[in-house]
Formats: sequence, C-alpha cells, structure tokens
Amino acid sequence: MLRLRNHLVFAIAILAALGVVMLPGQQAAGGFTAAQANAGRPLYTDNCAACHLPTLQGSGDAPALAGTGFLSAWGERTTRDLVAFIQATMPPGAAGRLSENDYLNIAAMILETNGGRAGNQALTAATNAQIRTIAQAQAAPQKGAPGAKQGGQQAKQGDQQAKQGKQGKQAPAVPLGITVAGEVRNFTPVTDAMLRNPDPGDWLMIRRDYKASNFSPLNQINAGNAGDLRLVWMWAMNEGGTNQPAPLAHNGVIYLNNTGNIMQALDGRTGELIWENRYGTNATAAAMRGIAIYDDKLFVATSDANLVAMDARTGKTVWQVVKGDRSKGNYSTSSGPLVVKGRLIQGLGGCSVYREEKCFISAHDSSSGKEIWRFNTIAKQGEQGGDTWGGLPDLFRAGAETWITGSYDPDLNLTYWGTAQSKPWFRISRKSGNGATLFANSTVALNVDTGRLQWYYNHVPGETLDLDEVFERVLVDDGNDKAVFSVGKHGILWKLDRRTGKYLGHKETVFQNVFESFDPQTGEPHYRNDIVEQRFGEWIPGCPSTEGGKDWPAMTHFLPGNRLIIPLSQSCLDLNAQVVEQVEGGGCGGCALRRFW
Amino acid sequence: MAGAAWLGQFLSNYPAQAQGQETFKGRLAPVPLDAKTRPDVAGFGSATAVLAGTKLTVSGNFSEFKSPATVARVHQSRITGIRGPALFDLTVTKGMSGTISGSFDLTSQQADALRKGLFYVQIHTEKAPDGNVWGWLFK
Repeated sequence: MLRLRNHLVFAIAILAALGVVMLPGQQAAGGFTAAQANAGRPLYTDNCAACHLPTLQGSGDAPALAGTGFLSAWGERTTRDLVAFIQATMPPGAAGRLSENDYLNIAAMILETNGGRAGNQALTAATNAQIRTIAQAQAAPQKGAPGAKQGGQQAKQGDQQAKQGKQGKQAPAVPLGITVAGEVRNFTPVTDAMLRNPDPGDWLMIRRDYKASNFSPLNQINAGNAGDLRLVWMWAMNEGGTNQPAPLAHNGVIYLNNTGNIMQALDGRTGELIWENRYGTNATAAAMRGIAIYDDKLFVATSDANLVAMDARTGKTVWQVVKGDRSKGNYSTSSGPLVVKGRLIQGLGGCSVYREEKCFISAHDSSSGKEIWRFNTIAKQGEQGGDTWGGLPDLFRAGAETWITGSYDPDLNLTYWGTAQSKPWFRISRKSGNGATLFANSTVALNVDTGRLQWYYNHVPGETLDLDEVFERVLVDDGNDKAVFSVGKHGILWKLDRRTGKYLGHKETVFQNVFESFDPQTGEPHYRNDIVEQRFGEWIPGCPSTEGGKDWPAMTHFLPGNRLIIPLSQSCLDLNAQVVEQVEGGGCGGCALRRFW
Repeated sequence: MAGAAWLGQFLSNYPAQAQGQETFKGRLAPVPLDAKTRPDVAGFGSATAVLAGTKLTVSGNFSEFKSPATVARVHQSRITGIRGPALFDLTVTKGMSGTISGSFDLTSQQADALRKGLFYVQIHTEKAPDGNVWGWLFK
C-alpha cells in the first residue's frame, strides 16, 4: 500500500512537472504568453503605474490591479471584458491611444501579476476566458517593478541606492542622487516666524500660508498690465506620471518637484538650474502636490510614502524614512507634508488593504525624520468612534486616507485635515451597515504637539459613492468667526467653527441629487432611499460623479474681497456595488463599476 | 461631460417665447456608458418641448447613431438626473439620424413636474435597446 502511494505521488509529481495536472492553488497555464506579459511590463510602467502604482495596488480613484481586490471586481468577468475595458477607458483622457497589442500585453502582465501562468496560447481581443480561472490573486513577484522594494527605516541615501540597485534585472538604469551639483548662494534658513508670516515674495508651503489661503499678496501684476507680460524663460519639466506639483519659492529660488522623483532648484530670475537630486528610481512616480521647507532642509513625500529630507542649499539627501509597516503591504502618498514648529505633519494614502495597521496622520522630527506621534484616521473597537462601523472587525476597516495637505492655526495650536471615504466605497461592499465609519470623510482637528484629536466633524456619515471630503481646509477669520471651510467631491461648501468643530452652515455649489435633505442644526445630509437600500448588481445614479464637483485643484481665499474662489465641475455617473471578499491582505479601493455621463 | 451641458441649461432661465406658452429644451447625449456599451452607444441631438395650456408638443432631431433608432419616449422621474418611467411614446425616424415628434395632454401634476426639471427624452436603438441618447428638459 505504501509503495502504491509512493508511486502515485511520484506519478503526480511527474505529471505536474509536465503541466498535465494542477497542484492545489495552482492555476491552469495559458490564456497569455510570457512574451506578452514581459512586453506589458514597461508599457504598464509608462502608462499605468503613476495612478495604479508600480505594485498594482492602486491609489486614490485608481483601483487595485492585483490581489483579492482585483479578483473581487474582475474574477467573474472575462479577459475579453478586461481588455475591452482597458482599451475603452485607459489611459484616462487618452483612451485607445495604445495599439491593440499594447493593451493585450498590459492585460497579460496584470494576469501574470495576479498569479496567472503564461502558456503557449496568446491572449487576443477575442479570448473569452473567465479571469478567475487564470489568475488566483496571489501576486507573483514583480520582475523589475521600480520602487517595489523599500529601504529600511531611516535608510541612508547610499543604503537606499544599494537596495534599489538590487530590485531586479529589468530595473531601468536611472542615475540616482545629485545629478547636477550646485549651491544656493546666500541661503537664509526658514524659521517658524517666516512660516507664520511669509515674505510677500516667498511661497514657503503648498497653499503659501498656514491658513491655506492659496493667495499671493503681490500686486505688481494686475488687470491693467497683465497683457504686457512677456516670456522671460521657460523650463521643461520631466514628462511621465501624474504631474500636479506646487513649487516653493524662497529668496528668489524656486524648488520644483518633478515626476520620476526628481527635485530641482532653479534661479527664479534666470531659470538656471542650480542643483538636481534624483532621489528615487521610479520613472513614473507622481510629482507630489506639495513640498515643504524648514530651516535648511527641503522635504518631499514620495508616491510610495517615504519622507525625504534634502539640504536646501545643495540638494543632497539628509535622511529618508518609510511611513508605516510594510510587512503587510505598501502605502502611497500624493501630497507632501506641512511643517509646524519643526515637525513634519504628513498624511497617508493607499489604505484600502485589510490589515491591522490603519491609515494615519503622523508627525516627524524635521531634523531626523523620527516619528513623534500618529493619529489613526480609522477608529478601532473600544476607541472613540469605534462603534460607528456596524460591528465590523477592526481588520476589515479600511480607507480614510489623507491625500491632501492640511492647514494650521498657530493660536489654537491645531492642525486641520480632511479624510477620504472608507473603503470599499459601497456600504454593502464594506459591510459597515449604515454606520458613520469614523473618522472617514471628516474634518479632524489635531493638537500639533501631541496628535490628540481635539474635535472632528463627519461631513457625510457612512459615505458610499466615492465622494471624498478630503480636500484642503481653508481657515478664514471674519469678525469674531474663526471658520474652517472645505469643499468635497459633493461640491458642498462646508463652514465649521474651527475652535469647536460646530457646524455653521453649508452651500451647494454644483448640482447634486444624492442627498434629499440636510439637518438644519447639524448639517448632516440624508441620502436618497435607493442609495441607503443599495443592493449588489444594481446601478445607482448620482451627481456629482466620482470625478467630483470639486477635486484636488485647490480653492483660494481672495483676501482683499474676502471671497472663496473654487474650481468646480459637473458630471454624473451610475455606480454598481461589487462583492468584496473579507480576507486579510484583501480589500479594495473602489470595487464598484462605473459608467459616466 | 454631457452632465455639464444639461446643468448649464438647467441653470439658465430662458423667458417664455410667447404669452401662455412655456418652452423647454434638452440636449440629447449618450446615456451612462461603460466599456461594454461604449461601442454601441453614440450620437447626439436636441429636443424642444412647448407647453401651451395642457398641451405638450415635443420635437427634435438626432444624428450619428451606431444603429437605427427604434423607439423614443418622454419619461418622468422623481429626481432630476435619475431615471423614471416612460410617459409617452414619440414618433421617431427609424434610422441613424432623423427626427422625433409628438403631442400630449399633461395633467397639472405632470406640468408641474416638467417645470421642476423632472422630464427627459430618451431614444433607443437596435444596438442600445436600454437607451442610446437622453436629454433632460429644462426651461
């Protein structure tokens, strides 16, 4: 009997080696070729990674393309659906730009990353195999995925380069470190006093001042002479990747963060490049929406959630730290830090994965990068707000990212941040019932010294349509009013008392039809009944769309006229909730189908 | 986005063209679409509805459809931007381009709903049997 069993095991091993039988957990080979997947990898890097990240984990509105989140959304659909979808919608704003072969190769690469095994049969537009039969959501190691591997805590630049150099044989040969050497002459260190009361000619933080006014007091250019402006110099920024930076200006020097992890210092008068630091290998890394400066250092967050400090005079990297525990997956960021009293206050993105560590805002010592405090933006059971998740186990509470830089009131010693929605988008997908899911889609006011929550205001309890209330918090003093204003994707302008978080009023700035009423005392909005009673597989129409009545482009507080100038847009869509499997390491940034109009 | 177009019309108040007569207009644009429906859903057009007393007269045109039109209807919804049931059938050219027309009597409740922006016109085609273009009627 024993001999027979041994023979059987041996026979199975031989057959498995020949690909005749499948071992448990192994997917059938085929559906695409290795050549297709290999060809898809650089195409993905060039066209997709900026939003979906090199790790395919997704960020912001870009869903995960690997793991259980991907399979939850696509497992029951077919390769033909996937290719058609990518071809019809990607890259955003330039759908169909690539050749059909390119789209097929990218799809093959996605299938392989999800554990699919290449075979002899090429993937074609007509291939109609169910994705779950090819992929198994166990992401295969990415061959040469730039930025996939992170340096350790407080890695020195040399260490970082050494590790990046071992990332795989296909990693592009990107020069790292100082690629143009130079020094800013007569550099003046930036002080707390300068940050509180910036020189009119300086722009020292993302929104220029702590109140996030986004307003320059300079008045030499006006309506009468704007027509006389002439080009003096121009500077070509790096191409590729999401490019939404806010440069800084200090004493006539412009600090510019480019895509691809490239920081540059330029002479504002001549456009001459003073120094350049290529601080990371990811060629499509987004240019952060903001950078920061304090003392003699320049600070940037990377798209894979590192914090990097550079010498503002020379550009040389001084320290680098990795945010969060990476043993259970990566994080992302898309905006930089706020510096307050020598502390970098930094948000975090990419928190849709089911893991014990929750999304957080953290403060770091500007001289070393050492974490001083952190505030979890998701309340766990037993904590304040922990009972607002419909009894959902802590492991499956996700989202509440802080992907836009906050503001600060020096008198109150409070920093104000907006949080994104809980994940997955739909209540029915995340199984949170009608709970508010604190502290998602809220304004949180934190003590700068301790990180302690002073107050919160939940703008849309239990948000369910991917309409973040995450954007900038603008502080306005009007008479005795000390207000904080914000506008989320709903396009609703909210006014709160920034001392207490008390609701003071709201104004709908674009057409919306998702809320039927608002509580006049608290401002709490009430969804339409069909949204509350959502079901899987049903299309739910709504305006604005997930593109937002407002999105990341910031509003301005025009101080002379005491007016808020807000960039808005109008669009609508239908959303369709998808089932999300609740397993550790799973989760999903969106997991809803969308159709726009 | 098409939504921006109809919102613009929604926000614009056009004076009535004649005494006792109210005019509503809508831009016909593709219904919400995804990768699966995108190849078959296309085209544009316009619709005008004139309310004189209780009589509503609808006219319009369309073009650049991917397949011939089959039916055209006036719908009433509970909330602007959300689909609702069909109220009336319009006469429609069975082609890739053409016209729509029809005339109906409205109840006072229906007339009020029209004034609140709750009416829309939708045209279906052979390849888009659930709707190809639609447009909300606003003053």
